Amino acid sequence: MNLNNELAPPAESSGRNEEDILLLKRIGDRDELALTSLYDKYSKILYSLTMRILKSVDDAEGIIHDIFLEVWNKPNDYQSNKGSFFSWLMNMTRNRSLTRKRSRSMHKQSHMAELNSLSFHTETHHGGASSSSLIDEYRDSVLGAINKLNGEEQQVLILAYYEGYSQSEIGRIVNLPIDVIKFRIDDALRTISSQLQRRS
Amino acid sequence: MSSHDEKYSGSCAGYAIGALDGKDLQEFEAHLKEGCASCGSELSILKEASALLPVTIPQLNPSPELKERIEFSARLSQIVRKDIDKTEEEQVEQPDEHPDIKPAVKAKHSAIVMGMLIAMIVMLIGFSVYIYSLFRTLEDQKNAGVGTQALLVKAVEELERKNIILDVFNSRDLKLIQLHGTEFNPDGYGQLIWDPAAQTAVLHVDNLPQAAGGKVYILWVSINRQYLFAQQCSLITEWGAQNYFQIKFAKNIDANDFEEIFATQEFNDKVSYPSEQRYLFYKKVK
Repeated sequence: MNLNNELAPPAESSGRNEEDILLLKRIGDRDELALTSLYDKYSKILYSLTMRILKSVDDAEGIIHDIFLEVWNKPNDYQSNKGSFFSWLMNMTRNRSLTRKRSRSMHKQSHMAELNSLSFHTETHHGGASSSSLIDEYRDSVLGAINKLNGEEQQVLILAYYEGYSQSEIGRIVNLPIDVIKFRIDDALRTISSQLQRRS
Repeated sequence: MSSHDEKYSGSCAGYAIGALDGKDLQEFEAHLKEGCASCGSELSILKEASALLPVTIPQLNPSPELKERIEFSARLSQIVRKDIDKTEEEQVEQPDEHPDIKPAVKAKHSAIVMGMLIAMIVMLIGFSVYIYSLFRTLEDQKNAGVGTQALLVKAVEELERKNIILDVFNSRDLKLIQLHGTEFNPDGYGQLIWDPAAQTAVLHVDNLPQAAGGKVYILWVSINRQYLFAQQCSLITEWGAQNYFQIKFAKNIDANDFEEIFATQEFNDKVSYPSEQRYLFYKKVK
């Protein structure tokens, strides 16, 4: 599957990125309201991601605090030619959360216990008035895409994305060859990507 | 499917979510360094898709205090930055005390000052190394003039103080204690930003008067009805209307044990009991 022939950045995400870049420029001019706007826009999903990985309020808030302060102090660290600000922010948050998790040696937990609890939230749920527009915009599409994955694909995607395991580690956990894991990750993420593009 | 697709395309997704490892990772990174546009583009698209995965997890709201902490941190770093700019301007406006020094030496000296100020901004990493190198440079340039050296030493001390303040502020286990103005000065207010791990705090006060002639401010903490002398705070208006002081407690203290926090004006820093004139206070609600 060649994504380049099928996919281009969705128009709405492109518009959102332009808004984010404007906010970053204002942050560069030391506009505190721009930082507040960015926080209001993304803090909820960043916090939810960090809590999903770390399951600790103190750790999660510490990471979110550091990330927004870093954006405030170094807004030029984001390079628009390498992807959207949103994905940059999410990747930075996820990486830091996984690093913190590894430092807490949470990987020592039983793999079987983790496997039993692995599932995406595939029911449609709405966050009410406080739900952000980004979540409203993409939740159903991403859920729809995830529902197209089989159980094995969902499992490896969760182990890789939220638990931070490498393909070799996942292979050992689920007792399958690395090539199979690699294929499942590839297939899962490409399926989601294609579904999102069809939606747009 | 081409040999390229077979070998590398299957690695894009794993790389996008950081799952690739071992030989696969080495080979794919080497391939990316060669500048493969196709893989670079696919990677970008897959990263965007993976960033959206968390929209499906239950959405949680962080505490309102987190937003306040971030805004306060941002404000503090802005004050520090403004102060750096101001210091920089002052350095530039200093009268030329040593006209006999060659322009190249002056330019070198000026570059050191600039470098020092930039280091303040990125002080979270490598600050101490920079200070060390700065002093070494100063040692090497003793002949450049005592006045300039004193100026730089003062600037370094100031930067070190601010570095400690920022370190405290970046502490992850930060406690914030609001201080309120007294009847004497109802407009005065402040916060004690407390880093329990380092047993260090930053006292931030605002709208307080200068200490009366010959007097100094002393911060007191009351625990179990006993007054613990914290630190002399020479309240001088040096950051505009804002005043920040680093406070290092000698004793191991849990912020939850604080009963009262206040400042008094004393004639010297050897007093063992606070005067009645209390300028800031925090009183634990029981």
